[in-house]
Parts: sequence; structure tokens; C-alpha cells
Amino acid sequence: MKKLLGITLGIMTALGGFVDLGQIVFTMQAGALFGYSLLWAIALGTAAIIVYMEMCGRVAIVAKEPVFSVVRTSLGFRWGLATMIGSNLLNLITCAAELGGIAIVLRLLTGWPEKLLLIGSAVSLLLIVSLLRFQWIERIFGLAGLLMIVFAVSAVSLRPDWTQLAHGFLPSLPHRDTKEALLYAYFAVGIFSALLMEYEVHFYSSGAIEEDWTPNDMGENFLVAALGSVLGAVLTTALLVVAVLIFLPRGIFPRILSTTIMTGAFPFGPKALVLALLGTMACVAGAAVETALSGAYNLCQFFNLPWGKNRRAKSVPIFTASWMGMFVLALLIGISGVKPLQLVNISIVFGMAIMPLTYYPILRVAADKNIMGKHVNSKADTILGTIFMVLISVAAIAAIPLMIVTHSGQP
Amino acid sequence: VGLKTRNTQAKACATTFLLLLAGCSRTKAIDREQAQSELRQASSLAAESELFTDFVRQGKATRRYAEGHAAMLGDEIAQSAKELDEASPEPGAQDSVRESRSFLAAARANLDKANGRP
Repeated sequence: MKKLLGITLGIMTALGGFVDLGQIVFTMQAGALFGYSLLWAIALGTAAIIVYMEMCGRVAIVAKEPVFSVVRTSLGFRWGLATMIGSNLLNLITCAAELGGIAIVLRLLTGWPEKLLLIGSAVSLLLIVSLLRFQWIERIFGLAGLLMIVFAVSAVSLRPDWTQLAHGFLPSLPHRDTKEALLYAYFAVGIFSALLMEYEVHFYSSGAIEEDWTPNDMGENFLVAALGSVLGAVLTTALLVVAVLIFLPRGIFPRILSTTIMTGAFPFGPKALVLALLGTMACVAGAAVETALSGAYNLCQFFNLPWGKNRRAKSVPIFTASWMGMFVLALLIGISGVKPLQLVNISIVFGMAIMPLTYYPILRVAADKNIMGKHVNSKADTILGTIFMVLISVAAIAAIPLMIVTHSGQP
Repeated sequence: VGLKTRNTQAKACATTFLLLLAGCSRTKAIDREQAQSELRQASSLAAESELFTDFVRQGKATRRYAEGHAAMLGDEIAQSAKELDEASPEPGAQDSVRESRSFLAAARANLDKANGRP
């Protein structure tokens, strides 16, 4: 049972990373524009995150070093500091967007004013993270996020064309015009990037240390990384499929969260709609917690300060103040009136731009026999890691120019 | 010579002022491509509101969701309509802008139906 519950770390990491506010709207927009033809980007991103999550879990177990200690050692102080500042800015922007997302969902459930709900959400998350141990945080958000399965059930009930769907897993290029090709590239890079958001590996590797994983847990590390990510990928695929079946034939390009949530209940009724709303809220709230905690993990691990959600708050004062500060700052950004989806667009694209600085050090340390001993990367791990590193770098270079020329993906 | 210089300076000042005024103006020129993009957005909003109206009519939405989503969609439609009102279409873009306005009017009408208004 303990092993089974251990998987919730992978589920929460993947759901918070894969199925957050940005990914829900972004994936559905991709489906509404390009049908199934971008499914390959989900498959590619999933394979990449499994490889890197497993690697950083292994490094955390063997070297007892979470991602940001590795980043500092590998990149040196100056580059490491730049990476830490960039990552934490992204965590903050994403956390603000997710808080905004929770307020939207709560408004759709209760009808109360959004600003009030925004404040209520931030206070509730502060209390939940303060009161609960790490394992309970991951169990609650990981398991509640499984309500998103209603979107998968909706997708199957709408009877997709399975042959066309399967073809979507083969990379292809649209042939109509340059504008469409650029839009296609923007969404491919965006989906790939959203599946590999940095905070997933920061949270996952810190979680492995919070849970005191030992070399005996090496099998569990792979299982957790793989199962959590595959589940996240299935749900992301379901989101794309419902968009293909509901939005594409009607010429709808969804721009707001509430439109996308409707698809989970489309073949059913109000009860399914409530499940879709609750599942979305759990995933979005999980992402808010992940980003707030990741911000604190990054800061403390970089400066070698004591950290840990399971330690008494007084013994890790900077860590505690940091994650609380993340929630407070995110709330202030949300209250300022910036639209959550605008924040998400920025975080996905800029996240991609700094991604190589997070992933390269993990690959380097995991392949270092002096540090990893018998748990060093196999040849296949290093080859796969290098291929994905090249893809991440290409996408990082292309992300910002694509955002500019497509006006953030406007058709 | 002094008078001529003063005249030239006055003309330059007036031109600069007019240019600044034009820059601060609330109207924004939109070309054919931008107008096409506005048209796609407006047509999408019209289809979205129709889908939503059907969803509500079939009894699939909760009351809170219907009210909340109608308000959010209404804001999107109002924002698009405002952008179109402030736009000054270039030659060749007028038809798309006109069509966009009628799509937005249809979207608003659909939302009214969903809200139970005549």
C-alpha cells in the first residue's frame, strides 16, 4: 500500500506539470486548429520527461543532491544564479496564473466574486501546505487530480476515429501556407515545453529526498516517473481529442478556461460537469503548490540552506518564508488584474527558453561515474538524454521568435 | 528671414502635434490580414456561444456554471467588439470588419438566449 501511495508523487508531479491551466487551454487550442496532428508532440514530451524525471530521481537517491545543488555544481555560481532567478520568476508567474485558474473554477462552482475567491484560494493553499506533511500534500492533489479522467471518458464516448488518432502520433507538417506552418511549430514547441516545465523536476527530485528514498527505491523511481507521466500524457491526449471532436468541426478556437471545461461533460450532464470542474481545480491547485514549493526548494538548495516540508518550520525558516512568500506574491500579481492565461503564455515560452540550463546539468551528473557509481546512466539513457537535450535546445532557440511571429499563437 | 523661420518652426510644431495626436488616437488601423484574424475570432465566439446555448438548453450545465460562463464569454465578446469599434479598417479590410461585427452581434444574441432573455 505504501508503494502504491508512493506513486502519488509521480501523479501529482505529472498532473501539476502536464494538466495545469496553461496546458489545458493550450492543448485544446492545438486540437481545435490542427486536429490530431500534434499528438506526436505529447508523445515526444512524455518520453523526454520520463527519461529526465528518472535521471533526477536517481541523482537525488545516489548523490543525495536535488536538482538545484546539481545546477550550481555543474554550471558554476554565476550561470547557476541566473538559472535560479529565471526558474523562480517562472515559478512565480505560473503560481499566479494557477491561483487565478482556481478562482475561475471556484466562481463557476459557487458564483461568488472572483477576487474574493482568489484571496480565499491563496489562504487555503497556505493553510494546507502549512498543516500537512509532504506525503499528504502529494496524495491529496495527486489523487484528486484523477477526477480529470472524466475528460478521457468524454473523449471515448464521443467516438473518435482511432485510425486518424493513431496517425497523429507520427510527426507531420501542415502544407497550406507559411503562417499555418509557423502556428503549427509554435504549438508543437509549446506542448513539448509545457510537458517539460522545470518545476516538475525540481519538485520531483526534492520529493524523492523528502520521502527518504534509498538505492532500494530505484525501481520505484522508474515506476513513479513512468506511470505518473504516462497518466498525465493520457489525460493530455484526452483533452486534445475532445477539442478535435467538439471545437474543430464548429470552428471554435477556445480562449477561456470555462469553455474548455465544458468538454468534459459534453456527452453527459451536470454531474460530469461538476467532476470536470473539481478535477480541473485539483490539477491547477496541485500546480500552484508545486510551483510555490519549487521556488523555495530552488532558493534553499542553491544557497545550501536547510530545507524540507517535513521539517519543523522553525528549523527551516528561509524555506518556510520562501514558499509562503511565493503564494503572497502570486496573490498580489493575481489581484493586480492580469489575466491568468496571459501569464501562462509567457511562462510556457520563457520556460522553454531557459530549459536547457536545468536539464543539461542533470544529464551531466547522471552520466558521471565518479558521482553515480554503479547507478550511472546506461548507454541508452545517455543517448536518449542527449537526443532530448538537442531537441530541448532547438525548441529553446525557436520558442521566443515563434511567439513573436505568431502573436502568441493567434490563428 | 526671422518671420520665415518662425513660420517654419510653427509648421513643424503643428505637424509634430498632429502626429502625436494621431499616435495617441484611440483608433487603430487594421490591415486585411488583421481583419481576417478578427473575423476568425468573432466567428469562433459566435460558434462558442451557440454551443454553450445548446449545452444549457439540453440541461447539461449547472446554474452557477451557466451564469459564470455566460459572464466570462460576454466579457470576451465585449472586448472583441471594443477592439473593432476602435479599429479603422484599411481599404480591403472593411468587409471582414463588417462581417466580424455581425458575428459578434449573433454571439451576444446567443448569450441572451442562454440567459433566458428574449
